Amino acid sequence: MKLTKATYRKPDDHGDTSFDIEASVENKKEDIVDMSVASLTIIDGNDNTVACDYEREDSSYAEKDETFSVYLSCYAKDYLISDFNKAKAIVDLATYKKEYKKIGEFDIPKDHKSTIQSNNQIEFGKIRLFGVSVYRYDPPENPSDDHSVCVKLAVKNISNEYIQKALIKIQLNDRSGANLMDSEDYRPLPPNATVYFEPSVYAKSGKLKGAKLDVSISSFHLIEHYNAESLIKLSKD
Amino acid sequence: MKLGDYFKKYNIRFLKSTPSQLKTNIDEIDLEKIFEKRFEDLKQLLNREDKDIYKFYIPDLGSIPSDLKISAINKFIIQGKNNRTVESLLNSSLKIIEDADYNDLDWYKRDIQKILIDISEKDVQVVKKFLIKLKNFNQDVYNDTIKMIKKLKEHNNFLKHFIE
Repeated sequence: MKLTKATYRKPDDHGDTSFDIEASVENKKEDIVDMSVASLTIIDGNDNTVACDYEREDSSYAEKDETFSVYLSCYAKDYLISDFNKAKAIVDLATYKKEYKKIGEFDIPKDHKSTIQSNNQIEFGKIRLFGVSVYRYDPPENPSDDHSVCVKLAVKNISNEYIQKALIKIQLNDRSGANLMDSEDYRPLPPNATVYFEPSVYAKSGKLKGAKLDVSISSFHLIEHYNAESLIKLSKD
Repeated sequence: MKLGDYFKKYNIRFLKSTPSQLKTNIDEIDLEKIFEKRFEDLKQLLNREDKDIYKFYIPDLGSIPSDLKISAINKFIIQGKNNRTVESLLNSSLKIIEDADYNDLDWYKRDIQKILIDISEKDVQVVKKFLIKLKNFNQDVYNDTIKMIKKLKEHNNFLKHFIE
């Protein structure tokens, strides 16, 4: 990884100095990069923390020997740095590959007192998916308002690997197959932990008749760590 | 503009600290007063009202930087989408050889080869401009790149446009 840009701007009217960093990364692994997570730390000449932007996810994509770039930024009050010539930008970045599985297509429960359930448990790579329960939230006071349909799904990491992100996506399609709405929820999965998801979608009651709910999971697994740092320069912009 | 309309327009989603994703009633918040504030300020504002928001993101793009101004979202989206255009890839490739050491030159060659082999008719002018910039920047690297184009031209007809 190389920092191909590391600049700061003169403070704005509020005394805020912004830092703009661009990093280029070459994927040397066989796995395809589908996501990167980076943090940017700005320190002064005495290694004091000035600013930090962390957990910056980017939908980076790179096959083997391909290069991708990420853009990071953060800001701080200018009085935190006595000498900008000695300030440094440090970037820590990790790349992740994606695994995907469709969990199933579910009918919509007829009312808020019934449920549709998958009645099965699936193991998918390093993940165990407990059965899916689809239910409807209590109807709105005004029946012509949107009605919510929710999914309950618990996901267990059955490995010792820290899984950066498990993403549950639900797509609501009407009886003709047209997409009405989608929703997603994602969280990290620590080793051996079980994490709970409850994404929901909503539509008018009539649209829910004959509609289907597609549920899928994507999980993101570590490929490689990268680190780089650079002195920062005043932006020419 | 209302916050709900703004989120819909730019396909902005948010993660909540607790799992429930039921519709959160933030749609009617008036954005005018906070339009020049940052996403971190928006998160704090919503969480003061118990909205339990952890982070904002755009599917297929990534998380929104907390220091990004709410008014600057369009620029952020355009930059994110442009990351994979040939012009952006070529510019990134050029930056690899600025202040380069020997390894970086090898990296540049691997990278530029991957980009050039996939160009199409619409990219011809972009590549021509890039080659002019490269020639002015570093004649040796330019010569190496032209040699590479000559070798690659059998695999992509559009590369013939760059050989005098």
